[in-house]
Amino acid sequence: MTLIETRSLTKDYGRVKALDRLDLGVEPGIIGLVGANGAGKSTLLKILLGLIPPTAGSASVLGLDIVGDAREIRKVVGYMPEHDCLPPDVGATEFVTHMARISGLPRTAARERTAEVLRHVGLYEERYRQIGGYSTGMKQRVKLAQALAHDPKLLLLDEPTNGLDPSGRDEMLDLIKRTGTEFGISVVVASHLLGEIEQVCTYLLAIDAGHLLQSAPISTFTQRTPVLAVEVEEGADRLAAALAGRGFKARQDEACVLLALDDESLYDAVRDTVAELGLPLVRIQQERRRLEEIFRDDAPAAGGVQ
Amino acid sequence: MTIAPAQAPVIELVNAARWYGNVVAVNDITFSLGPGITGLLGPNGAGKTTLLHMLAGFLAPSAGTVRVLGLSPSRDPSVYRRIGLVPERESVYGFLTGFEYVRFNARLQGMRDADAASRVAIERVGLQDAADRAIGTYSKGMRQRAKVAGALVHDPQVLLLDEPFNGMDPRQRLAMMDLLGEMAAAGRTILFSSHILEEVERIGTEILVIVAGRLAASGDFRAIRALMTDRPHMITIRSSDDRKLAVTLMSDPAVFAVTLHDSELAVQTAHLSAFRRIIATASRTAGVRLTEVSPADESLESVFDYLVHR
Amino acid sequence: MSTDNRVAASSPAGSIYDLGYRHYEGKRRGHWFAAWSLYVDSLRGIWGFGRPMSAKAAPFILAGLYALPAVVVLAFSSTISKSIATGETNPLDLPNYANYFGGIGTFIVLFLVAQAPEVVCRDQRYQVLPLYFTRAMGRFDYAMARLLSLATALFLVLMVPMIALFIGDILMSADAFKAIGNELPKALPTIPSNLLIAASTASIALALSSYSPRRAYAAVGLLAYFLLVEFVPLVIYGIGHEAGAKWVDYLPLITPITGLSRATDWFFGAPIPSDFSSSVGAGAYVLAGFVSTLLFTGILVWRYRRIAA
Repeated sequence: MTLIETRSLTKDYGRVKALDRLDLGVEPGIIGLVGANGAGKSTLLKILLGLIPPTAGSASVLGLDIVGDAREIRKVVGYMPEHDCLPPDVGATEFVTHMARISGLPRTAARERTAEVLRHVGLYEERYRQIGGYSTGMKQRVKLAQALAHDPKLLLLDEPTNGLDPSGRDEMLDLIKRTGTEFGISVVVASHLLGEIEQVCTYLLAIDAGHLLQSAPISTFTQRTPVLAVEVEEGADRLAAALAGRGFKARQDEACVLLALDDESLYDAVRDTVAELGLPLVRIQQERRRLEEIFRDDAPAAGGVQ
Repeated sequence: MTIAPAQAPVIELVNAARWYGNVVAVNDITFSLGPGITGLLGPNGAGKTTLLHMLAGFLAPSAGTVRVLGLSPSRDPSVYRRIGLVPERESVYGFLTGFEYVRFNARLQGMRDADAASRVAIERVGLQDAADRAIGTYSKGMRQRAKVAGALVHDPQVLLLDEPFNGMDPRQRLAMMDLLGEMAAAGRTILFSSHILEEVERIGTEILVIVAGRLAASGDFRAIRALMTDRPHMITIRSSDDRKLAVTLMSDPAVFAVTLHDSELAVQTAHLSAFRRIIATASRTAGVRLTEVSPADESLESVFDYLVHR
Repeated sequence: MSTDNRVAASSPAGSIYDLGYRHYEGKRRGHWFAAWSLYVDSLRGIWGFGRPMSAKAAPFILAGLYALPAVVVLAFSSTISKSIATGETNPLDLPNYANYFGGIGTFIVLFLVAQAPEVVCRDQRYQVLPLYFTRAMGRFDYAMARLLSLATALFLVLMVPMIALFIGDILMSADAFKAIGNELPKALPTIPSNLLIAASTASIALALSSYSPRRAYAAVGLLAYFLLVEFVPLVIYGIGHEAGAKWVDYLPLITPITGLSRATDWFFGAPIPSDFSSSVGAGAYVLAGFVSTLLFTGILVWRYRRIAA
């Protein structure tokens, strides 16, 4: 079943068109949503959640229409907003339990689910203290917990690692990955950080100026190119020359030699040449494309050796 | 670090400290910076913002000295003309247009031709099209760019940025990185703090790492990595016969440990250079094809993790 | 929930239990339940339950002060009844169901100024609204749940002195059981009249408070509104009435306290005091109360429909 689908979805604010006849369709999975700031991806999330109405077009989430079945959608979707949204004068347990009840869980179930979910996101004794005293990392966890408490089928996370330091970010990304794989819940992660998206997501949606720029599995953008990079501490020029002498297309780039990977025998040639020349080998790696390339205006069509 | 030996450092801290009652935000920090770009890293609450504010002159050091361009910024307001600060918090008036805000800054700096300078600054950050709209209508990334324009309108010698890429999308970030790179190449001294290590790595290799108010490391992060001798280097290897290669490698004194994973080998070595010299030979001897050899923990991420948890 | 332990691994001698994520297969209630939960939570919040002790101070003290005259009458009921018998005290001077609100309505205003902002400002200030609006409850449900909780709280505050007076009357009479039979019909109109007061004042207070995320501003704004809309029309009425203008008779209709106490008179069939000779009957005040309630409820719902989340 299609997770999210939009048909000619438009949001027109007069001066600016946030979404312009957007057509997309994604299957369940962990989806990365990237896009230009402000209008575009946040607008899309808000429309899917029913926070703002579309100007034109239609959309469905888990097969439910966003206009006709808005209430049904909200029962099975969890939302983690980008901005601070937690009152400071209650404890996490109390707040998440309250939200779980607002999602329709009976009192006992709400309490039990809250306790479980707080454990899954990694909040232990802190959960009884007031949220106002939490660190950014803890607050992000509470935000995630309230989105998970009612066991949604789909999680919409808007910049979930905002404000977190590198270790906090790693933990949050790990949590998101577990949610998508172990917990069996589909996730849409809106983020500016392509590194994160590469790390965690399986599918990419890129929106630009209200249109769909890219919609494909992440692997499409991080494919290996037919270029082998060999890095040595010293003597790269000799290595390049020797390999060229063996009949391989080689190009030196500072400490690196880039070779056209036409044939598997290249690997052995590299190994043997390095051994013969006695060079300190740093790296042998097939070049991969990187996600950010789709955003460079001067994006090359494919990697290659001139 | 990035100092030309004959020149005086542009930024210099000697035993600088700053406390608020019992809370020591910056604790006995000494370093100097010259032209170029340096990344300021550290966990949340480590003191990065306090440090930047001390450099900008908002806070006087509780102990030690802080000098920017030879002057103490908290005591000598004349140095403000040559410093630009992009703070983290929202600090722009929503009702001003982008252009008005930048010009406001230019005027505050006492620039004679504020209008022209503002236009140049706006263009440098790519906000020409939106310059006549109120900042309140800007997206987060645009607001950031407006703040940067305001900070460089007076063409400062020193630029301090606190989490400058916050809220910017990939394209804007790349553009901002290019801009900072240009300015650094032109001889400016740029210090920026960020949590996004992949970005810091992109812009440059010079870093300062602060942990709980203390300076944990400074310099080129690759050099820092090489100094982390109490931590063996890890290299990932893929080959045509991992197990056979593992056996051969274990017999070499340069290798400390080998871990067999599903489809790869993780080799740990305390003598990186020595290992690098033997890997190709060892594989050839074993008759094993090497398809991938890559350092697993040379990234900034890895270095940072080590420094923070030491 | 289930009591069977899911098992990750087991042998005759021991087991490891699976603590992994579990899906929820149980009942999920609809938006009525959500609105009810919010209503209850909101009502508790108004009285400071679930909050630190300091949050309980304002509502209980103000409610207590409002009830004070009635409680005093109740406490001294035997003394008072003797005093009435000897003719020292005129029963008409005592607080009773009809004149109670008009006499001490100020404390209701204070209660609202203190607590109405507590109900709606917090969620705006800390931007919690998107979390509500993306759940089974909609914007209308949210606004109404909050409104009903404040109206309920007010109704409780208003009724406590009524009950005290009722008990006092029972105690002051010779035959308790006969008195209950007599007094009850006299007391019944307190319910609809206090419902009207509760609904009307709560809707004004909440509608106005909902326009500010900051409690302090909302409180000040509310106080300013009640003062102005109470006294300015009365002053103009006073002057105009002296001058013989007829149109000023309609002004008191918009005053909250005076207007609602006149409306109370209608429920009790009590005559309007002579110093307030107005060509506008008490029934008009009841109507004004209804209209005001609808108007401000509409404003509140409109506010939450339009608010960005």
